[in-house]
Amino acid sequence: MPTLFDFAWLIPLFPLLAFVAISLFAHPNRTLSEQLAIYLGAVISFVLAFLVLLSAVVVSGELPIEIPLLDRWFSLGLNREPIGISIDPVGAALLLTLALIYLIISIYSKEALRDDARFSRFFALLSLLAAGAFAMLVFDNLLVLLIAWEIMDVCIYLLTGLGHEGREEEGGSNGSLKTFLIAQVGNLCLLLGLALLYAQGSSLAYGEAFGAANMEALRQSTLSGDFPTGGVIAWLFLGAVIARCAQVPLHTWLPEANEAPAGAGALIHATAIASGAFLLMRALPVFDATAASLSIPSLGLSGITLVGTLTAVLTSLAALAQRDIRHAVSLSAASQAGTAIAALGIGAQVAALFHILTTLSSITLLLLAAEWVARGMARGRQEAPSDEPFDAHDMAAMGGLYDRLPAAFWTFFIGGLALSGLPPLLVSGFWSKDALLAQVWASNPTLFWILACSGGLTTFGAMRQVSLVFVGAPRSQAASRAAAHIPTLATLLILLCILVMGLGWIGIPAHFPALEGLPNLLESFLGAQDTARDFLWDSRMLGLAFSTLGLIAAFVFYAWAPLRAGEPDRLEQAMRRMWLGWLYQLMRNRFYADALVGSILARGAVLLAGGLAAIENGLNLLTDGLAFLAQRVCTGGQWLDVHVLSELTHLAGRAGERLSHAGNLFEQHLLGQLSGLAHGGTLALARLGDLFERAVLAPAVDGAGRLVRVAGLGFRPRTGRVQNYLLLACAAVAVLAAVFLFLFLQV
Amino acid sequence: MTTVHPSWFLALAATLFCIGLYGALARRSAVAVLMGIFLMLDAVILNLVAFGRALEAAGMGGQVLAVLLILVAAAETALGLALVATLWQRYSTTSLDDLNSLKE
Repeated sequence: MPTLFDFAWLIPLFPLLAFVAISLFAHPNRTLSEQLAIYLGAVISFVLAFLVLLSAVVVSGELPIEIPLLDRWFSLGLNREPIGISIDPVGAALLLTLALIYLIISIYSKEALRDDARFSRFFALLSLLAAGAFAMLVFDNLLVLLIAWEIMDVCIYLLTGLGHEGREEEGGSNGSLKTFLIAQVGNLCLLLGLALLYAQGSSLAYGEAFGAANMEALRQSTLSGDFPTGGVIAWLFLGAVIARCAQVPLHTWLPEANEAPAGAGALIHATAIASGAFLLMRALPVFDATAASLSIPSLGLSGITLVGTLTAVLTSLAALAQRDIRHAVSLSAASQAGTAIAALGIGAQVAALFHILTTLSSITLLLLAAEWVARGMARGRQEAPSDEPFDAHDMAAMGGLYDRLPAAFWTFFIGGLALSGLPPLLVSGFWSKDALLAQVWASNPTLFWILACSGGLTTFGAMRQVSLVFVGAPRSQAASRAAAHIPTLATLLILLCILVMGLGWIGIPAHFPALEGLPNLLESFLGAQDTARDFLWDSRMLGLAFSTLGLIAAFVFYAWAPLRAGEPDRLEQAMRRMWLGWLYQLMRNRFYADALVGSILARGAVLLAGGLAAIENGLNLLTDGLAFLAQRVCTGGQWLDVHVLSELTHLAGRAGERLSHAGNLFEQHLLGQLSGLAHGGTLALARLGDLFERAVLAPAVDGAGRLVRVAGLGFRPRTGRVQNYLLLACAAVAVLAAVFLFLFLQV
Repeated sequence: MTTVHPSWFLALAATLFCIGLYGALARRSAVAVLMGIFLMLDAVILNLVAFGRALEAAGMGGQVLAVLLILVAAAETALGLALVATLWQRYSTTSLDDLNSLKE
């Protein structure tokens, strides 16, 4: 009996149809494009995702549900690869979150890009991005995951490119290229890990590739006897997650992704973090099986936890030094993703998933609120035009927007609180961070201190933003005239606020005082439980304390005496005074990860190309030298012919002449007829010699000379004519074929 | 029913290939070169069908690949003709003797 899950494959299909329809047909007609994108793509997939999640919750005991679709999707040699649907709790939860974000962004962007020429292209790409994300979450195949990631990368590249349109002369398109290239690094790691896994178990379906039998085999096998295959695969998957979730050192692409127009930046953030988290959770069996290879003994940590913690700290530090309002939010998002990944590293699955879900919603809220503020600033700029360069997202030019854009203030403030996890009980961020920190406290106290510190830094960053943007007096003309009345956005953001505040209640930990009876919906849905069950006041209170500390610090630094126009950032001033100016520079430039990666990869490739070009030049010199030598040989042959051989024959001729003279005399004086005959005979001989030389020797030597000349001079392969090159190629193929046939096949 | 021995197909394919190779290497006009390339592809397709029948009497592998190659040949010819048209537009000549600006 077909259940709803049999139709789960429709979820990615509808946005894909919207993409195809818009790009092929509806391109010129904007109303049609937007209707297709929103109703066909976003609404239907959202409804379907919602129904799928409901059904999944209802049958949560039987998850994951696997439904085979095609027995033979494609063949690789003798293996037939099947494809099917796999709905599991993580996928269903992420599916609904992403579908909701997609819907919200579509509705907002329709209004925001109303007068923009890039309208249809934007919606086509947005639909394709969503289709890729949904496909990744619905199907049961690692290969589909890889394909979906590639599709998403192309869309992210094109979307950020759309944002740069018209500003190419500033070198802006480098940002979208960087996004794409870093994503490709991740995809390469994924492809390699996938290939190794496939070689191990001959199947790419989640059930079998990550099944118990495969994992057992993975534990034993090694690559060329030295490296454990499982460990290599685990590190490769980790590399893919690092690139995807913008972890250190590949964290610089996430701020660039904000260049995408309207709300696409939020969708890009959401899909990227969701895909990285999804892969990590799916591949947990591999990480468990190879825990020994992943762990770093000196620290007693798993590699995953190390990456996550490092990112959490470094990106939250970097977020404190950013001037662009969206960059700070992106780096905070990367920091929260890092915290969740660190939690996954110590085995707290429920808390990590919870934290990812709440992070996705708060980040979307923050990015859309930032978008609102930017629109307001742009409008303010229109009212007060001036010649100075203007960046609608520059926080140094904002200030005092609380009076001008009160609704934006409230939504941004709530988003910032959600990200920081304050106040307790009210925002989802509190519940998820609280649960996460409790798990970490139980497993590794040092890690707890570090993560709690990064939580405090995130709070500091979020409140810094709120203060810089909304508190105090406007620091520029544009800010003093900012105004943006966008009812659509207001409604959407209110919805998001409700979500952000209410999401927390699905994951109330056990033994929470005064709330003992409420069930932990997330745990029962996931069918998994985190290890630490008791309610510990210590971890809770300490976590809250750090966040509150961050809040107070931000208040003191930024809100107590708000920044005035032209005044440099307080944090920067404070750090310079404490001789930490170098640290501030590092934070500002996101720890120069761009330069590092660039110098290693990019300059390395350039050096390699230079080396190969040098080798080619050397070979050219060699062939030129050979040609020169051949030329000299033929000239030498000519010289030989002219000076030596013909002289010899001439000498022979002259000798014969002299002889005939002597014979003449002899004949004149003694012989007569006989000497006349002898005279004639020698003359004839001379002429014969001449004839021989002219007819045979000269042409022979000339011919030899010409042959060598041709061989030396004629073989100038670079004539510029296509057919000569083609002839050379055919000749090479023929030679190779002959070699192959006669040497290797022994024909 | 008499059948044609596969070696006849191979001989025909080889002949077609040589004719095509000559056309590609020795003709002056770019369109003639394209024709030669197309002939070479035809020879390959013929070979595929012949071998497909000879080696795998019940299977469709050879013929399927041949259909694919027909498509490839058509697409490539279309591309080549587009190139020739652009050449004509830019240089007012399609004679490959004149188009040697890659010469060093």
